[in-house]
Amino acid sequence: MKNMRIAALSVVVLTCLVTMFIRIPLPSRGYFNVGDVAVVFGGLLLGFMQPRQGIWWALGACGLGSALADILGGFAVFAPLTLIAKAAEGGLAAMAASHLGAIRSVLLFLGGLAMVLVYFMGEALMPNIGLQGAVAEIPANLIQAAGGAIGGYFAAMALKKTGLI
Amino acid sequence: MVMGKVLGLLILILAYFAWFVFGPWYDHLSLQGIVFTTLVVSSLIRHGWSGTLRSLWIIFPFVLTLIFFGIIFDWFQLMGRSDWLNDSLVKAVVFPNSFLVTKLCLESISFRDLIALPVSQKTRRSMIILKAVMGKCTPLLFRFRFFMSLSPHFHNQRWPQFWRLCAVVMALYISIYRQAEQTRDLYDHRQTFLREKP
Repeated sequence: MKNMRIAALSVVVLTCLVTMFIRIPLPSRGYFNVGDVAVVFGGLLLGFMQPRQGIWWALGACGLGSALADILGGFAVFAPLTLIAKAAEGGLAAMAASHLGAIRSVLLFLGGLAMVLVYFMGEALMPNIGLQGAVAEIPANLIQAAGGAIGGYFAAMALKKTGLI
Repeated sequence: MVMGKVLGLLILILAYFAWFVFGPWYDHLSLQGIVFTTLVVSSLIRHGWSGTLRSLWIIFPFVLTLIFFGIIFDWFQLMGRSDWLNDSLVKAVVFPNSFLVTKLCLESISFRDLIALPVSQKTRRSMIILKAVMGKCTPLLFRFRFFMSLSPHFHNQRWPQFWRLCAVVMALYISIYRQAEQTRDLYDHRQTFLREKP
């Protein structure tokens, strides 16, 4: 399972499916989902496969998969924001794959933080959500980011141990 | 001809979103209901009862959570608003409509249409593999979740549902990768060895 193109395509499909089918609505008309587990998993995976080019693959695959989930799920208005937020999260996760210990944890933390910040800034500028709605979503986004980092990390490490990647 | 069909479907999706999601007919429950009925009938004609029920079953949990949280937000008048329930009921119809419209339109784009599109060989190959893999792997998510829930491995751990989800993500990735590989090999084989009858 070492073909980069197929791996990136698989990450697109994985993030799209996981994001689409497990969702909880939020007050600001967005939704809480567990797709961040797939985003961090995909980012780490692509980073393990190719430490340098993997970052660019992760930026594209993680962003595209999550944005596709928004479009297919009827939340197309969030798709451009999701593309940037999840691409940043996936890209930083891919970067974390090349490091160990504290640096890896810091990069995973920064990935989650980047996702929360992008959503906050984007939603604050949306007329039908505004600053109130953007602030209301911060706790849920933080939980998403933390859960995604932990879950994605353990899933990626488990797959790495199998020797398949 | 193919470009016309693809453009027509994209315009249909955009028109639906422009009028029924972001436009003047978003709040009209009766109109949304008519659209929902039309889409369900179209799905019945295309996929039959089992396919349609499967599609509705996919979105049913989210619709339930929409209504559930709408009731809770309305009860507590969150953010000073008292229209949460009405908003949730509208979303409970708009979300399935958006899902069904996009699904039915994108499903109408067949593999033959993708082959006939004026794109590069690499792009065409990627689009075909993506479409094939999405179609085959969507049911896998639910199957893996079901079988993982039967496994006793996670029962004694803290937050078993979370660890089960991580295991599902890993299993799903492996299946998607294998499916994408097989589809790519099949496509390459057909490209190489199959020829049109003269």
